[in-house]
Amino acid sequence: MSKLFSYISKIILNPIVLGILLIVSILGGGLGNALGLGFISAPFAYISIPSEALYVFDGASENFLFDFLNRALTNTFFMSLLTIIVLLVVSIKATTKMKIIPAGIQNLIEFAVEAMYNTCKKIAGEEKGKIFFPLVMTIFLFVVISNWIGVLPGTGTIGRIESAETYCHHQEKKNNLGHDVKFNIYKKNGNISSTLFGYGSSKYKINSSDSFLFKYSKSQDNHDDDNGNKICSHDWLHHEFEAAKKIKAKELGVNNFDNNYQAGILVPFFRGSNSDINTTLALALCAMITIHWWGIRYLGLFGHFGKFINFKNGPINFFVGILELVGEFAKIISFTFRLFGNIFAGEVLLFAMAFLLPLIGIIPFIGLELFVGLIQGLIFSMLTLVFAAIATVSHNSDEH
Amino acid sequence: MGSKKLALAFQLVGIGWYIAVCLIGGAFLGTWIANFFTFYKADVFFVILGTLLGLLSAGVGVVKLVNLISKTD
Repeated sequence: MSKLFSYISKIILNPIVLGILLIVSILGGGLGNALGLGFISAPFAYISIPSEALYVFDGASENFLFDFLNRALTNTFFMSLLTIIVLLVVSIKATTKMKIIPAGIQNLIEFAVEAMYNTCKKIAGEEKGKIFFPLVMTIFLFVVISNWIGVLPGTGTIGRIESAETYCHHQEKKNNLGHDVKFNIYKKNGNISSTLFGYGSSKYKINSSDSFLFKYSKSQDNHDDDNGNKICSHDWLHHEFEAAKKIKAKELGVNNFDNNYQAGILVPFFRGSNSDINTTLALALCAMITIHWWGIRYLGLFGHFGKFINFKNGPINFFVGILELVGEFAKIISFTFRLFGNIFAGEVLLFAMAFLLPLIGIIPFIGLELFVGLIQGLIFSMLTLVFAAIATVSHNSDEH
Repeated sequence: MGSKKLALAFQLVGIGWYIAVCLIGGAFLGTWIANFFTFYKADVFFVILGTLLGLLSAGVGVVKLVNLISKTD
């Protein structure tokens, strides 16, 4: 009987269930939206390279504190704090009531620490491996845990709705007009008009992937549109929104939409911290400054910088030294952009797959992101270790 | 796939759903609680708080579920 059930499940049930899931995903997703379906699709997220402020403190331009908080209290910074808290909790849990024969979380942490410590000693030697290990392990743990937290459900999807008006005014303050933005339509949630999920209402048969294109750009002479409304003014936005709503209502065959809807973009509360270039740049600078500090410590100031400004042994070595100096700056840039590019592109990929194939399309890519998060942590930490090992060895030394 | 492996696969999928439900449930809870408060940006505060509580419960629950699964195996 169990053999029969196993046979049935392998050959018949599994493909049928997977097939149904696939068809429901296609029809319910962004692809099905073109056929008038798209019943489970999410709005395509507004993809922003800079991280977003968790919430905007008003009166920012007059108050230094508000201005600073609006810049500093971003969703990625918040996730960095979360990463630190997770690492603290895990460390405390693993190191209280330690046993001679480790078990549970102590065993897991000892495995990770021992593996990395042995690698450090193998690459850099016994004595230097001990010195380099704390930085290398910190970078590895921080990058891996922050990448994995950035894949959790809720990151990129739970957030506040920034209305079109507010968005427009922020871009105007930054002098960043002249580009097209697609706003989504969000239903106001009772008293709360600014939080949570951007899903449309079934009452008007809106599905959440409907969107309106608001074209706003600087005119050549002034900031007025054809009707004399100042671009980004409340009247201008209201006029644009009403006109767009009428077009959409006609398309959907309804009279109009009520005032319970607003146009806006979703600003997520949670976003992977390495998808912000500031985080990756900070990690790269910490790594490279520490590497140079170790270089100075082991070789002396003139011994270390003598590798870059090298007047001994002819002009060729001088130019090689200059190239190595340029290479040091290139290392900072490559550290930064390698990690940022991988993680940010992964996030965009997850958004795209959640939009196209909502139910099952995202599953393999979440697995990929977990793998990429681990690999990027390994790469960053290993390169830091290797560069440190190279920096602490003189050109004239036999250790080379 | 044998029935034991299938059961294990379903248990592991269940852990994933458990994490998602905890996080999203926490966010919804935060939205509901925010209806009772009127201070500045109460909704933002409670949604973030609810999601973090959801994350905490997801973490604790996952550890317990994984321990349970490894003991039964």
